[in-house]
Amino acid sequence: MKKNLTLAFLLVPFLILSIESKATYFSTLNLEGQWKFSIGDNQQWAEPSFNDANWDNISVPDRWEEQGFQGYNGIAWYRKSIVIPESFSNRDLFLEMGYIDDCDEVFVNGQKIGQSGSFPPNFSTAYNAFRKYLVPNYLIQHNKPNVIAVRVYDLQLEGGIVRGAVQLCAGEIAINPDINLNGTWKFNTGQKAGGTKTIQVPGRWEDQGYNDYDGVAVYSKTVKLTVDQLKKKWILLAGKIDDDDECYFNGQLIATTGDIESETNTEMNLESRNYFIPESALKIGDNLIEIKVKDRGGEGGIIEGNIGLISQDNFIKNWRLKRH
Amino acid sequence: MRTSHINKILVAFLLTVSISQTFASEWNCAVKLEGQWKFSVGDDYDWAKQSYDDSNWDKLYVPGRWEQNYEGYNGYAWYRTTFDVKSLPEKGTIALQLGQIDDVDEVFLNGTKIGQTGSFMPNFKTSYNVDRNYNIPRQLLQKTNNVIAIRVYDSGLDGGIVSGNVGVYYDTDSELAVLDLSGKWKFSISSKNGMLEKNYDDNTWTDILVPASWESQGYPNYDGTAWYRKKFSVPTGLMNENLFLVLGQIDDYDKVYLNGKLLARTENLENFSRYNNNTYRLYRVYELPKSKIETENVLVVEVRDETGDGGIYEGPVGIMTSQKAQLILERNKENYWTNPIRSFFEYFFN
Repeated sequence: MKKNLTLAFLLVPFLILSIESKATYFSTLNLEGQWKFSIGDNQQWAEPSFNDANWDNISVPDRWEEQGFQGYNGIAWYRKSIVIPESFSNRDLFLEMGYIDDCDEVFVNGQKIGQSGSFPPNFSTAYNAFRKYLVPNYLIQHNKPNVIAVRVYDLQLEGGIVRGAVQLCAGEIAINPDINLNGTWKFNTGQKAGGTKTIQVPGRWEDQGYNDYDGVAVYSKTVKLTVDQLKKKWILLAGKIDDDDECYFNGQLIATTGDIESETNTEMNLESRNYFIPESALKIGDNLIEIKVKDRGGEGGIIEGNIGLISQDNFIKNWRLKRH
Repeated sequence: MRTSHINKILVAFLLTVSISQTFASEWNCAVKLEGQWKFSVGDDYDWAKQSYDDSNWDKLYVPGRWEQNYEGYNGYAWYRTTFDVKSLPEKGTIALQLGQIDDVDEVFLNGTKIGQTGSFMPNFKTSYNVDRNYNIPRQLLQKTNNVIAIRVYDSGLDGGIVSGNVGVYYDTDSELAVLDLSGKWKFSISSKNGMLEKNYDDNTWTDILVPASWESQGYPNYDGTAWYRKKFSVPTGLMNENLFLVLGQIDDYDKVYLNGKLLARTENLENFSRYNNNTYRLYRVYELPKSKIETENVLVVEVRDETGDGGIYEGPVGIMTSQKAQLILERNKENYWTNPIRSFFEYFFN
């Protein structure tokens, strides 16, 4: 961990070089071409079971104004079903959606995986941001159809998935949890867990009803562990968190990144967090996980990653595969 | 204390590259440990054991960021390696130097913990910019197949044994002493009634290794006053010599009591100057008047650290004859008076 900005700047070129020369990242499926399309808005259209057979066909990427929807501004949905081969099951998969005008929400098999910009009433455009979303591995059905649904809002002028590349890419070997914790968590702004509100993890809280919220919030979730599972050592894959956090298991503090209490900005750390759980913090049956997150500005929350528990044996095995 | 202000260091570096050599301690390398080590992500204290079988572990080049192979990895990982000792001087300090470790480490030699720097989760505290220099107790060393196991935690960005000289070093200075006082001392960070007295019972005090900073021995970020106690006996053959007590370098100030009476303090040093706060660089060489030495003696060293690393951190530590003590004293002169540029520079910046 480097506290010194001067040093950090000196390191930037090296980091970029090392990423370019070493990282594995390649396109696995070209998703450009015909997609199903409908103007209007209905949450059911995110569901994989929804029948879109009588929707229009539209070419992606292109402005929808060019394809019979001249002058249309507002919400529209795109859908496409794709088969993802088993051979990519051990890699991180990313959905690249090119440039979308103005904002979008993306769902895979009914679960939201990401958002750019924000929808009315707190509208903000992201027309010039390239879309790249991590697809959590637990959502994917290998060798079977998977449904991508994209909800798009256009305020004015050209709209839609306007420019490429639109493709599914495979990245590094994935560190996938044995016990998945992606999905719905309890969520409460302030210092204490509880309440009745829920939130989707991973995801920016700005996209989920907490627009412009900066400060502290607590994510909580219970996970059941059996006698046999307790014989292993466990690591919490906490993903990328913006900005600082404190992580508790059954009320016991197990790890921190940054300093929640501090008023001054700590250094930004957007690498995946691996929290080793002491055996003393786990018990048979329900275990309460609480992650207290402090966002100091901009987007906030548990924003990306395959969240969950992984046994140390599998953790080591996967990192050995992932090593360069 | 070791001033950490980056500009200061940069300017100092530019101005005094060659001169700074005189500040380097007299460490000689006995075993170089740079090269391929065994490496595994994860965390398990079984991996500290000498007998643990790491044959199917990965390899990693040391020193270097672990991101060289494990891009984006944060968390715990362990390093292991083995070494043989061909020859070492009979006496004096032996140290394991590991350069800089990012962020926190705990080091085991043949299964026994020999040091720690920084603080692990959940009360995490980084020490990424501190040089690791761990005293190796002689009784732990074997001629062959010594196993070093290092538990490292990194919370973000660079991680691991990232830079610096890595090896087993010995301190030739200690050979200068007729009575070596390096090794295990008693240590307390709280003041106790009667603790300066010769007959005070320090059994409840913790052990600490001298020389080495207290930060590297379980007192991360402690600034303030602490007390060291050591019993020693002087062989009768030496009682008629002119003897000196050498306490190496102390960060930042010290007061020395012998058998309950104040013997000396930093301010008594010939090269002490109240115009600069570089007392942590001064070698402590104090005269031991014959009248004050007994057959059995108790030494209490009160150390006050203002900031950064603290303690009796660098040797030699021991009792020397006048001639050898003079050699150590010369270093202070070299450091402070034969180099006007440096003196000016230090005056100016402090």
